[in-house]
Amino acid sequence: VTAGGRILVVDDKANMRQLLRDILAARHQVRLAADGGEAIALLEKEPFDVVLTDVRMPGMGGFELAQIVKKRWPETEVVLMTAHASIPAAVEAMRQGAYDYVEKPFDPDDVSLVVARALERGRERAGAAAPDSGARDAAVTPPPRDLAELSYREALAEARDRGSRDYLTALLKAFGGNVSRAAAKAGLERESLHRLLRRHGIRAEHYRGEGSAGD
Amino acid sequence: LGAALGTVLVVLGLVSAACLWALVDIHDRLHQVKEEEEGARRIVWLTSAIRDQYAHIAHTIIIDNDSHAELFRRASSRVLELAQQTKGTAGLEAASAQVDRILASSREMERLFDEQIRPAIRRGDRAAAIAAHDRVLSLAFQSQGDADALVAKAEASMENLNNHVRATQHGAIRLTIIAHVLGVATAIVVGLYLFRSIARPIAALESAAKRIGEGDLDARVTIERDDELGRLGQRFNEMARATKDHQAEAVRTERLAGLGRMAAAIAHELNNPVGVIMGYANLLLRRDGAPEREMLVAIEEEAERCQQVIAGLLELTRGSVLQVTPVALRALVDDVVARLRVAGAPAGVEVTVEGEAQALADEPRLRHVLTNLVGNALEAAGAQGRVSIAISATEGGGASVTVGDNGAGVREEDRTHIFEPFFTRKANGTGLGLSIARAIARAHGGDVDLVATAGAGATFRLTLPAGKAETRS
Repeated sequence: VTAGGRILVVDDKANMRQLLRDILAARHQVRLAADGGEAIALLEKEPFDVVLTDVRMPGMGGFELAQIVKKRWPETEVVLMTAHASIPAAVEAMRQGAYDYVEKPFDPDDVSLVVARALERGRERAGAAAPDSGARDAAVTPPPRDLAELSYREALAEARDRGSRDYLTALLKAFGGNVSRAAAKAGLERESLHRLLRRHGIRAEHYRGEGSAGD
Repeated sequence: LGAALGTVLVVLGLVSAACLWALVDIHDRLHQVKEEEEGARRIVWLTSAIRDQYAHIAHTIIIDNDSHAELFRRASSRVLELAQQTKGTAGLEAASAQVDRILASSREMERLFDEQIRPAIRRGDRAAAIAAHDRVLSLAFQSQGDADALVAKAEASMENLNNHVRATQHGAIRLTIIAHVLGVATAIVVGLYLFRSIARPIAALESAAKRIGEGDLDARVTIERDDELGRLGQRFNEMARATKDHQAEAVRTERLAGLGRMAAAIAHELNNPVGVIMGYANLLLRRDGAPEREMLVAIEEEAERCQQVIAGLLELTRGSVLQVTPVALRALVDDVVARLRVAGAPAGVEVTVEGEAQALADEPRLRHVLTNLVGNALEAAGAQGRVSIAISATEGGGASVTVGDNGAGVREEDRTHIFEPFFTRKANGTGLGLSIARAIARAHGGDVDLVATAGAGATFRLTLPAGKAETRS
C-alpha cells in the first residue's frame, strides 16, 4: 500500500511553494497553485486528498478557499498554513471544517506529519462510508473527532499537538514499536518519525511487541 | 487692613448719620421760621386792622355822620380774629400779654366809639367827639407800638433761626465733603487691594494658561498665598505638571507603538523568506551524504535564530486579543515541566510543583509565559540544581505562579533591564523571552515580576487577575 496522496499546495510565494513541493514530493503527488482561484481551477480538473493552503494571499485568502473546498469537495481535507498571530482564526476555520493548521515558519517534519494525518483521516472517512474497503486501516488511529462540535480550546488542543501525539502513539502501537514500518505506513521518512517522536516525548520501545498490525 | 477698613466704614456711617440729623434739623427750623413768618404777617395785618378801626372813627368824626359804623364793626371783628390767631401761633406765647393789651385797646376803642363818639355825633357835639378821639388816638398808637414790638421780636427770632440753619447747613456741607473724600479714598484703597489680591493672580494664571495653550508645558504660576487663589495656583501647577507627564507618556507610547508596528511589519515580511531558508537547510541536511554539512548546520542554526527573533517580535507586537478560557494552572505547569524535560532540561535538575489554582487566560499564550519562566529557571539552576514552582489563588479570584531557582540569580545592574526587549546575558538567547512573558501577562491584566533574588537564585512571579469570561480585545 502506498501511503502517498494527491496534495495541492497553495501559496503566493514561489519559493515557499517550491519548498513545500520538495518536502512532500518524495512521498506524494504534489501540484502547486499561486492563489485561491488557481487552486479551484485545479480542483475542478482533478481530485485531491489534501489542500495545503497559506492563509494570507492576495485575492482569495486561505479561509475563503477552505470554505469553498469543504462545500464543493467535502472529501478533500484542508490544512491551513498560518503565522502565529492568526492561530485563533485558523482554529475557528477548523471548527468550520478545515482539518488542521501548520504554524509558519514550519519544521519540514511537521508538514509531513500533518499531511500524513490528514490523509489518514480522509481514508478513515472513506472507510467508514464503505466498510468493505480500508476497514483494516481503521485501527491505526483513534476515532476522528468531529471538530465542528469542539470548543475553541478543545479544537486548539486537538490542533496543537494532541492530535499528532495520539496519531504517533497509535501508529507505534499498530506496528509494535517498529519505527521503520510505522514511518512507511504514514508516508514519513524514518528519521523524520524519530525526530517527531523525540519532540513529543514518545519512546518507541514502550510499544515494542504491543500491536501486530502489518502489511 | 480689615480693622482700618472697619474704622473707615464706622466713620462714614457716623458722618452720614450726622448729615441726616442736620438735614432733619434744618427742615424743622425752616418750618419754625415759616410759622414765625406767618405770625409776623398776622401781626402786621393786626396793626393794619387797628389802623382801620382808628380810620373809621376818624372818618365818622370828619364826615360827621354814622355811615362808617358798619365798617368799623368789621375792622373790630377782624382785630379780634387776628389777635386770637396770633395768640395760637407757636413761638408767640410770650407775646400774649402784648396781644391781650392790643385786644383790650381795641375793645376800649370800640366802647369809646359806641358810647361817646357816635352819641356825640348824633347830638352834634363835635367837641365831645374830638375829646374821645384823642383817647382813641392814644390807644391806636399804643397798639401800633405793641404790634411793632411783636414784629421786631418775631424778626429777631427768625434771624436767630436763620443763623442756626445757616450754621447747620455749613456743618452738613463740611460733613458731606468729608464723607465724599473718605468714600473715594476708601474706594481707591479697596480697589487697589482687590487688584493686588485678585486681578494680579488671575492675570498670572491667565498668562500661564496662555503659555500652556501655546505648548509651553513648563509654564508655572507663583501665588504664595494660603487662600482659594493660592490653592488654585497650586492645582494649576499640578495640572501643568501632570499634563507634561501625560504628554511625554503619550509621545513615548506612540513612539513605541510605531516601533511595534514597524517591527511587526518587518517580522511578518521576513517570516516567509527565513522559513524557506530554514526549510531548505533542513531538507538538505536530511539527505544522506549531504555535502558541506557544517555549513548547512550553520545556515540552519542561524536561520532558526532569525526565526526565533521573528516569532518573538510577532508575539510581542501581537496586541491583546485574547481567547480566554478557564485554565487549570497545575495541569498546565506539570505539562510545561514535562515538555521541557523531554526537550532537554539539565541533567539531575529537581523540580517541585506545589498548589493549584484556576485562571481565566488564553491558554497557548499562558503556556508560552510559563514555558519561558520555567525554561529560564531550569537553565539557571543547571545540572543538579533545584527549581520550585508554587501556584496559588490570590484574593479577588486571581492567581499567581512563582518560579524560583537556585542558580546564579540576576545581577544588580541587570534587574531594571531584564524585561527590556533584546536584553540578554545568554550566549544564544534572543533577549525577547521575558519581555514577551511580561507583555502577555499584561495583556491579561496581570504582570510578571522579579520578586526576589536573595543570595543564590532568582524568583519570578506571574500574577493573573480574576478576569472576565468573555474574549477581551
